[in-house]
Amino acid sequence: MAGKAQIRFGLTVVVLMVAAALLAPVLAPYAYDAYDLRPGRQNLGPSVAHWLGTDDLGRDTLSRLLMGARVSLAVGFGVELFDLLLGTLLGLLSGFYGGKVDSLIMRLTDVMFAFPDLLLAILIAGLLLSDPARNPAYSFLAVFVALAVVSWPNLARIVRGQAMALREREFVEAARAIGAPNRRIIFTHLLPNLLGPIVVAVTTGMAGVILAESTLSFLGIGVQPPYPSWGSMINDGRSRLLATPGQVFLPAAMLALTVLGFNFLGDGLRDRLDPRMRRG
Amino acid sequence: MAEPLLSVQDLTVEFGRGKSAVQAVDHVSFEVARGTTVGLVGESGSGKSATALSLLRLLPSPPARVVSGSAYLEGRDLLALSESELRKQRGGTVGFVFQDPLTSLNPVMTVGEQVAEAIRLHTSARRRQAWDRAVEALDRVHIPNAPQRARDYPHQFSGGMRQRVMIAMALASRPKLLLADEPTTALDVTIQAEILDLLSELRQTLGLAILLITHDLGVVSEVCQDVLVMYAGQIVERGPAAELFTSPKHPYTQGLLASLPQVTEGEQLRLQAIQGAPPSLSEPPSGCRFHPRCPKAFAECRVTEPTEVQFSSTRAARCLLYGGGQPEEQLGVPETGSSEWGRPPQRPSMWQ
Repeated sequence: MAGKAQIRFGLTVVVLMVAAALLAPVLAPYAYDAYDLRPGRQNLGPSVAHWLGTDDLGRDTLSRLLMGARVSLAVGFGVELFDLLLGTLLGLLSGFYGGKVDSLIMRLTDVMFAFPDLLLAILIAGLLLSDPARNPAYSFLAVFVALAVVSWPNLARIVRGQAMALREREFVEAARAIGAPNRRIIFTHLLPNLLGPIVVAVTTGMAGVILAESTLSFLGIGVQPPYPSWGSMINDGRSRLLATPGQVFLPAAMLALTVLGFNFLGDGLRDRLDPRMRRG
Repeated sequence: MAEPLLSVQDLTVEFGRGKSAVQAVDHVSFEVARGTTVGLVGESGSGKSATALSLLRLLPSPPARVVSGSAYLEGRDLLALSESELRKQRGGTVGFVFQDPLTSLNPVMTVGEQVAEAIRLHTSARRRQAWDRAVEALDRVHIPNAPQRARDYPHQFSGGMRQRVMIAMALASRPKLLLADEPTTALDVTIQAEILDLLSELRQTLGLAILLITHDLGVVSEVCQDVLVMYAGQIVERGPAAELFTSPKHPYTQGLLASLPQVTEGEQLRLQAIQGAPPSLSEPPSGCRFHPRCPKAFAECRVTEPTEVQFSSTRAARCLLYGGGQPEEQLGVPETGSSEWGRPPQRPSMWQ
């Protein structure tokens, strides 16, 4: 029953994080960018007014953590949606048709895999963010593009492998024998059989994307201020690690919890969706 | 005889290209008349499945390739049709039943959906109509409580029931011809009999022609009117089932019949096996392909490839014993008289 507990934990964390992200503007006691430069209002410890204290610009840490959830999950969902569409489609085409189509798509993923993911993402994000005069909201797009470009090949590979195995199954031949065209075989016979592995890959992929977004933001080439990201909050707090450890540990804890939640959910689903365990 | 429903002429299927090409089906010709069941018998690798699959271009290509031949079904050459025209024939005029019902159904679709899909692909029926007809089709293959069972998934069915579903799928669009590739091999014996009964019943009620591929002579004797025996890619003997079983002409057919286990009183009999193994199709033996294993082989068998000898309009064998020169030298085996297969004439047999 470890699997069940794992799913329950993962699901709880994910639901809480999604709720925090959706309700951030309502739940947050202050605006995420409401700075307070009056003397003695910065780097405060926990108090009734600021439950988790304030940062070096006097902004409310709790509000920024909640908004950070929104940023992380928005980037995560956006990137995974892109992967889901592109990666699944390319994987299906590659696995089903094989031959030249497969070679072309797989060489493309080989090239992508040849670059270290994070370095390539840093390169792309760095290029896109090289003009500091841009509106900070543009940085969301930059992070999305950087992470989407590096993350789709993973799902494409997984789907391709599964599709290749399925293609050899007799029910695909049987579908062809009743006159089903390729398009129909791909989308009504292969795809539904692949939903399990895809859901698992996307869920664990979320954890990776959220981590990568925070890494980019930590390095300063992710989501730009004033928008809060757990990564940039960790970086901001780094210089006063001993004086105000909460400013590093709180966003780090949120990040760790979220990544753990998605990973647990993904692993738990993998166990549950394993066809060998699904009977009756 | 009226014009046959399916007329296959000179069908040759190769796997691979150039020097390494293997002829899995070698100039095969046969006919299937309306409303009859024709058995295509042979060992594994004899090319019987490749023959059937190639008719609907269901072989993986590459490596498989139809090199020559025609297959006229009601005046249309299946082998010359475009992919989209052929798609209308698949499941439309020609149904196909596969060997293994456990893996031939999509595990994530209900069986009703799968039968309905076969209907919707070939008619303009709407979803609701197609579903109703799918339920009818399931009912026709005697699936009890079809309206409810149609909503179940394949894993909720037994092997025999799944094969019934496969047959319902193949017959959903009322095809004229059913290609059944070892439809009972994966099933146990009692279920086999039920499926064979079902096929015979459908043949009669729907006027269906069936090409039944099997390696099981018992199956052939139960349901087939005509039999084709394949060996190493060639048809070596053909004829009406009753004649072929009572007086097999080709030594291979004789060997197959002799190798059937027989229930006798008293004495313990060894199973009569055909010596040796089927030849590799990449290097077929010279002359007659059966000569290395044939107890009646003579010198010429090694060099001359036999042609088909007609005994009557329906009966033929591909063996030098019946034509193409007299044996010049015997290879230690008497040509006539008691056969090397060692079947005493008075032993009761299920064929006599």
